[in-house]
Amino acid sequence: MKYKKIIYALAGLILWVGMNSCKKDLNRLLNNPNAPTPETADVDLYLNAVQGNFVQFWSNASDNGGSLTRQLFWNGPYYRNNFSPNSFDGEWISAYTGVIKNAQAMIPLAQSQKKYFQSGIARALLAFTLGTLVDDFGDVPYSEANLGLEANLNPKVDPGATAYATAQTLLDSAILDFQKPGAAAGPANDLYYDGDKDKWITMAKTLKLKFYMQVRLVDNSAIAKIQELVTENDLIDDPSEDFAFRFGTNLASPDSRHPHYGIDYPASGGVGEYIGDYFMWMVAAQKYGGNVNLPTNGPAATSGDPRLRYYLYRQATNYSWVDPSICPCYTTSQYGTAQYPSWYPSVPDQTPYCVVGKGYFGRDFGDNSGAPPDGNYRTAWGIYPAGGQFDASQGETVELIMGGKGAGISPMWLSSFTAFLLSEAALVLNITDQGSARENLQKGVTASIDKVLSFPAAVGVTVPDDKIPSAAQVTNYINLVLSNYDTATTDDSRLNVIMTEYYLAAWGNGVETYNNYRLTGKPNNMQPARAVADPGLFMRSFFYPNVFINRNSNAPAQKDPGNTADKVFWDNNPDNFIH
Amino acid sequence: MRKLTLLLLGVTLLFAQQTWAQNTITGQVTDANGLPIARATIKIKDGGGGTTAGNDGTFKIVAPANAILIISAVGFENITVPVNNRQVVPVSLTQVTSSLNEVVVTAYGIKREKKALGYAVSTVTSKDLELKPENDIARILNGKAPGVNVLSTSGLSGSGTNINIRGISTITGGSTPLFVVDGVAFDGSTNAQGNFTYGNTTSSRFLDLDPNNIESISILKGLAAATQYGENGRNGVIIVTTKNGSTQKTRTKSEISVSQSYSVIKAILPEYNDGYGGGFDESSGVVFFSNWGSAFTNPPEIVTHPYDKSRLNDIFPQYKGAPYERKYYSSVPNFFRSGNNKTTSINAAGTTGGNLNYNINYSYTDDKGYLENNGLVKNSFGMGGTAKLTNKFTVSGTVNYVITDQKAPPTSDSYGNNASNSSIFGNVLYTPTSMDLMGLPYESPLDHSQVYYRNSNDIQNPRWTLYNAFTKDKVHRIFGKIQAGYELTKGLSLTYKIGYDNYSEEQEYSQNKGGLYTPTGLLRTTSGNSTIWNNQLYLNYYGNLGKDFTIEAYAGADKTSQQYSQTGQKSQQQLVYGLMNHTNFISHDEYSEDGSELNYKKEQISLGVYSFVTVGYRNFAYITAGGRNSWSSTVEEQNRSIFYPNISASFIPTTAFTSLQNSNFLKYLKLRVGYSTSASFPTPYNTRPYLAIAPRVFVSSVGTVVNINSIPNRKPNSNLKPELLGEVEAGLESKLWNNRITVDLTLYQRTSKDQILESPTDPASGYTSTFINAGKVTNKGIELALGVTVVNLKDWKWQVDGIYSINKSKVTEIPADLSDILISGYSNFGTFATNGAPLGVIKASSFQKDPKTGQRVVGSDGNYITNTTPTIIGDPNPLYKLSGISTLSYKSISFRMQWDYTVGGEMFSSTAAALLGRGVTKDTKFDRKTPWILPGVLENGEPNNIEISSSQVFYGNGLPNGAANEVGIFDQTCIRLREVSISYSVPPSMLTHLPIGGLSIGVSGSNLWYYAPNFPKYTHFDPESSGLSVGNGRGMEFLSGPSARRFGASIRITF
Repeated sequence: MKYKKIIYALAGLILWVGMNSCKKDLNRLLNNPNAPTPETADVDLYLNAVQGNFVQFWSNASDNGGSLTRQLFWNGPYYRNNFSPNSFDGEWISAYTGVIKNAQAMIPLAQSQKKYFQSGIARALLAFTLGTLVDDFGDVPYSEANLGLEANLNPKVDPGATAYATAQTLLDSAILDFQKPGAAAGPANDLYYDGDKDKWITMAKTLKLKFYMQVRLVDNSAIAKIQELVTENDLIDDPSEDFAFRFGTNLASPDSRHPHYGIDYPASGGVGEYIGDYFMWMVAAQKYGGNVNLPTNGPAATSGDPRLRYYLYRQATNYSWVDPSICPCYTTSQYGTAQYPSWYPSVPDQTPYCVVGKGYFGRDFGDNSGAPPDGNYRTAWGIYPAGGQFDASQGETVELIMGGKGAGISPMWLSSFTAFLLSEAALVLNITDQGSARENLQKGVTASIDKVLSFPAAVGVTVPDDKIPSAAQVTNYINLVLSNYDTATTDDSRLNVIMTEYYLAAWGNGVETYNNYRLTGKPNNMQPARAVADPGLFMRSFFYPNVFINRNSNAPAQKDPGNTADKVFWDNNPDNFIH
Repeated sequence: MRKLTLLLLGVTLLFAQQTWAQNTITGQVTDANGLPIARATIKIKDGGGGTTAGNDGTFKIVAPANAILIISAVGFENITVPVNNRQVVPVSLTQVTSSLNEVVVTAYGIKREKKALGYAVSTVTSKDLELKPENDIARILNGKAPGVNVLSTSGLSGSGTNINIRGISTITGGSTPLFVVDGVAFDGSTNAQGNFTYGNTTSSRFLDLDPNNIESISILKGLAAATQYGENGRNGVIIVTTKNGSTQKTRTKSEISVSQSYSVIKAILPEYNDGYGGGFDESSGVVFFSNWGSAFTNPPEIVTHPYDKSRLNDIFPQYKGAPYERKYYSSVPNFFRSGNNKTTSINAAGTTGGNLNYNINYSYTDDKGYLENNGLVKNSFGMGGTAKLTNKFTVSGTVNYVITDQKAPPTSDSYGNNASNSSIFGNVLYTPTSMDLMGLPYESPLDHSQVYYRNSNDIQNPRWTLYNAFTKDKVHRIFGKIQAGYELTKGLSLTYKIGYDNYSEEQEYSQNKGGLYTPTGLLRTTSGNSTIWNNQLYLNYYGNLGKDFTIEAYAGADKTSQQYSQTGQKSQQQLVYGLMNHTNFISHDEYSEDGSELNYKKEQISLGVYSFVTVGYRNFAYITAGGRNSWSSTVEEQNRSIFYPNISASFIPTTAFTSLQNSNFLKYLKLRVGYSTSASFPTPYNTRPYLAIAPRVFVSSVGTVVNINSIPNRKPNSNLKPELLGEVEAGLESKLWNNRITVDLTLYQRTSKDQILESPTDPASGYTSTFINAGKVTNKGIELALGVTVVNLKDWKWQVDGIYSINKSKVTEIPADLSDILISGYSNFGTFATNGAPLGVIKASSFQKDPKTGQRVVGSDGNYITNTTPTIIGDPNPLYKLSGISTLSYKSISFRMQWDYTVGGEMFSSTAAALLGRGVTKDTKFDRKTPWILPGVLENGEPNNIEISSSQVFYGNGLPNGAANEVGIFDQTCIRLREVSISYSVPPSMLTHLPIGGLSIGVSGSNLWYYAPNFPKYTHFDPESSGLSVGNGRGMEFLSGPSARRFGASIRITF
């Protein structure tokens, strides 16, 4: 019996010891073996995440603004129901979890490793992100947002003006970072300026100017800052300084192409989106009495916007394909019986309806009818800025691999934009250190045309000689713009000429067109909504995203677009001054 | 009770006075084959004491020469033997068939008397499992045990299967029951490599079990039964005893049996519209998506050839200007083939005469599904044996090796308006009936790219999909155990068991270039390796405490470690058409199409110590109390240890009260009640922060590769705790009317609180979600099994069994800021956990309803107005389920039928809605010229009076993702003839001249017929399907394919 007791005792002991050692062993299994620990983070790899997420954020913001400013299609029919709060989730998520979180985690690490260049880039992109968030949503969280592992899950918003001031501070510290001596090696991947610190300083200063110009209606102190920056003149005024993200041609693993190239150039099914009829009409026809003027290198055609064939690619050069089931409005358009909506001004000399002419085929603003199988006829984004096909009137269906193969750019800030900004500053603030409003208008249009016309070469595409606009055509176009400016009798109509050219130069950038439209109300001939006469008050800011309103107990009340204007802090224009 | 005791005492005294001379009697208890039965109980009738036989069956007892001995043993019928002045009394017992002393296999393969159990156990034996036309053990179990729900993901051979017991009690955790094979854990998971939108038909790994090698299955439903397994048993336990694992049973002879079966597999297809063809609004073209064209004419109208278009004229000059007959082509029925299943199974059971038993088997299954390129080949080898050693050791072991090789075309979700990704069914079932799918080319002769009839080529030709898109799943699996038992003293034994289950699973998803969805081609391969080590050590004591009490106690410890690792690669941009090899692709990465990582490993360990004791009182009252303490590696130390107690009792009034003992009507009554608890631990790696890394997120135009590290979007929660489950269960078992009626009734209520939920957070916090513990799911239900022996004559026997299950779930206590928790599907169209609603209600866009009348509101264009904000449009949980099994036998001919009846519950059926919306079935073979007025009211409340065309009614207001998705909601009520079989065993007398010992033949069929009255009649839609892959989602189907009907014959010869 004693023997047995010993056995039991021993068995019990072995069991107990065994269990305990096993229990200790369990701690080992709490660490994820598939990922490194946070302590191993690398500044340059963080910076890559920030740069990449910034592109995504900016593209989201640009598409949202672009659809409201008729560059892209807006479905409608009312402002209150076209978007739902979750339409803006993507922009919010990429801003906070992509750019802001990783930038904030990276900056202290970069500072401790003397990687000031990297932290400067992160701060500059943070500022651009924060300012754009305010532009789009108004008051947004920042000072309480993203505080690491102990994060406040319900961060309160900062007033828009405060956040804008924070963005200016971030830019100042970015400039200091760029200038700080004793910095460690620069970033492994600078996807914007390829390691050129001076260009980053120029970018930060231009961004400061942009933000100050944005608040000019509500903040008188901004004017002195604008003056200061214009006088110093370290601004993006040369295409080599353009702040633009350059996409690649890699089709898969990873898809590195311009996002609109991916949508517009699939293997089958045709173009996956509509371009706004208004924008196409503005480029192709507005200056020519509503007739589409296609530039050609020859004596036959001497007018037309030289950028047209670069901006837009037609899959068909006419409308012979039209049947009522694919394009029901065609028979009532300018080509049919012209039964355009009664609230439209004259078509097509004052606004487009249904189609633009010569095969340009998009959608009217607020046309909420169902989408017919018209993918093979829709006009696609051209070689600029999406890296698509150059329109040599070939009228062929889009293909997966075509033109610039997607090696386009996101034109976040171009030298032409600076020129238009300076033109605006000269006109409305009388700040003329860098030339008059007219001189800067000319500079802007010229810079834009140069940029666009030289783009195919930059992405290795050869354009047929006979389709390259001649120098005479370029001159004719610039002279036409200047003559429009000269014949304008009021500052308001002069501003309209400037902002119209800014609008045309900003193809692919819905961030600035949306800002400009709210700040200046220009271009002043935006196409009216098509399905209903009154789509409600123009959305002066976006809905707060679903992911913000529904998940954050400190979020402000949701907006009521269409019924209220929901203006952001820098917008003191009347509620109904734009439609 | 006091009266009863006095009565018993009086009886004892009365007989004591008449005591005869006492003799010492010896004997041995054996079974019908003369093999000893261990530990039988020998009692002297009328109160003369008793003894227990030894392991060799021998006993010694002092008894009067005229005494009557009552001998009982677990698993055998009680017997009374008069001593008749003998000194040596041999006792032969017969095995229990359906008597009161039924034995069931409970946790760890321990056999226990059913009457002592305080919880419900259902048992299914080999005769209900083998020689079926179906290979999937879970699908065979469907309808055979109350409370068990089985739902297949597709009718394709080898596709995954959902199985769950007593409803689903977790929102985000696993709900598949634990499979225990021969006493050790067996992985039954489904290792899908992408979500349902990528069309996986990944097999569930219980497919590796061979139904022909199964001796019996016990299903432990409640938590009480599963406590020994720890938290892994919380979803119920399916205990499988294989023939190789059942060698403990004593045997007398060696036997080899060979069986062969063959069955045919047919898809159950809709009946197509042979009156109207492709088009819209009565048009007569054929290149339309819809089948709303004009009526067919005789002779057929000649129309423009669908392949006569500029896009195709160069490729197919033969169709330029060619005539095309607009008629019914029977395209879809011809697309399917007749599949078949061949199964060969050989089993050898041997013995050396008591101390060494062994079993060896091999089986081969070749299953060709109802589509080309769908099939399953399974090779199973197995052996097992038990040796009783002379030194009180018993050792046994099993080892099984299975190779399962499955292939199928992908089945992505579709809504009748193209599929999300390549889908074999998503594009074929609504083919316009005037489209000659089988007679026209499906690929370009130039580059093999897909071609089809639409102008912009925007439907992927289903035949192209069939020959160019593949999923493959190949498994090599080895599982088995070694067990050693040692008898320390009489009644006390120590057992050690080590179980091992390891498989490698190679999966492939590939598509040639030239398709619509992955135009450049795709190849994704993964190789997964799963290992479960299961160590168990337990002491087991069985004995008597005094005269009236029996005691059975277990105490032990176990450790289960689960490891899964996977490597994989995805490649795109195929170089040369046809070859599926990563080197034939240009770009490569390590992410699945849905973005999940293909390379990872995970490991978790669960430790437990447990003890439970059953005390029995005079064979009529039993109480079991026990508990387990578990430690799991997936939570931090402070939350790691969890203790879960359980207690249950059973009471048998028919044994306890003499007044009940002689009733002919009530033969047996058992009442039971129990309370038990369990836990559900989270998946690994959610408590600690880590850094996300991703290589190659961008390649610049000059080839610079950009890599990143970033902070993950899910916030770790260091205080994450397990979900806690508690269950009350009460039941009744009875045998009535001379044992001709058996009743087994269970009522239960299970609550599962502290649900592990992924709480979405404001991205401004830096995170998009974090896991939290919140919310409660309650499941209440009734399970009833009723058996009636209607006829019990010498030659004729008719047994009818009815099974009834009802389960009601309810979600509560979800924090207000988490309005909806998505279970499966899309965030605006899926199944959700919502406070106050049953678990898994379907939310989707709905039709706007008039608040006064509840009628649908019609807009000024005559169409219904859609409410895009998702609302609850259906509850997929059936009201109740009923199964009826009839077994009629005449001599050795047996005829068996199983009918299943599911009542209530709604489902979203893309198939039914799309077939109707596209006008392809006979349901829409009506005069299409008549204008329609949709039932409903106008926005001003007046009845709708706006006429629209039939196309517009069915297409515009009927097709999901165009009209409100509510249009796809149907009631699931369905009656089904699940199984029919006729078998005949040749009587041994007829075989005496042959060298064989037994011969039986049979014909059987499964899923032969069903009728779902609330679905459109000619769609023949089978509501028993799921498009949500294997998981917790139910009640949604996205053109997931028809179900299969199987029937065939089998023969078994025993040597």
